[in-house]
Amino acid sequence: MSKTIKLEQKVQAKGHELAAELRELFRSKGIFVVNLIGSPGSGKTTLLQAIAPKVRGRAAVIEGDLATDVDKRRIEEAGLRAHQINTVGACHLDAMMVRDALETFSIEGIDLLFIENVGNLVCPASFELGEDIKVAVVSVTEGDDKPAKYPKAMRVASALIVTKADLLPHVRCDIDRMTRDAREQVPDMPVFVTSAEDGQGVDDLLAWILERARARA
Amino acid sequence: MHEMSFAEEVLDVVLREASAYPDARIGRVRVRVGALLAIEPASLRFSLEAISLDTPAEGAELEIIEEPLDGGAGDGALTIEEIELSE
Repeated sequence: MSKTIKLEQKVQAKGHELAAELRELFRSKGIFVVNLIGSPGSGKTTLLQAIAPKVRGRAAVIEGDLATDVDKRRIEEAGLRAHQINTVGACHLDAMMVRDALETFSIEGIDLLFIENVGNLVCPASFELGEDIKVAVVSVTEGDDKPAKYPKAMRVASALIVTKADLLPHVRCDIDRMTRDAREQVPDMPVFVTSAEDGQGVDDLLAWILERARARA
Repeated sequence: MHEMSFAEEVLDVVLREASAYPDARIGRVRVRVGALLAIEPASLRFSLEAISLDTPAEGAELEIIEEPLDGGAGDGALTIEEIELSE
């Protein structure tokens, strides 16, 4: 004998509700949260190091990696408070990990929180961490086909940040193509061409982030 | 791989619903997935299979209906349609 239960029940990915709670928490404290997603070696940490001196005292960073606290130390050396999450095996951060991090990592007194996701242009695109915006980080050395190849990462991103622009004379990378492919997914997507090495684009990027923060507040 | 996160929620709901019938096992679960979720059926199936071991849902068949994009609310939703129990 068998019985069928008719349900028609919608479910969200686990963590969806928690992400909403985190978003409320960040908002109540007046903190604007940016979730950085990009491949390993795309320059996420280096970009944050370049931003760090400009937001000292008002920003903090949560770092996500499978192992080590290398990135946390780099951020601290750049002058920001940082917390390292080690996901062990997981290829992305999720809301539970962020909530657990906040049990020991204080976010009092800041108005800007960067969450650097595990290096991966695929999975982090699917997970909400309570952030206000995601930004996609792609370096000129990875190849200009990445925005086309990773459409979901572009679709969930509020901006495309191209890093290592100082290397443009040495690599074949068509920024227009990256821009076009990113805007296939999100029309008018802002694109920032940056270099942590010579500082180009970093001020523009930060100004845009702070403008987004003001617009939300 | 966000399929695991969906599989966890599906399993929670299925086990909760089935708990009213303590002697039953779960034979089949039917879900509809919206196109915007970009769920890979094989991955969702594998995830559910892996986490349902040693539960009444172990070995249950997962039927996945992939819905085409239609601009509606269903595009971004995973809906559990029905659960079939067997003795």
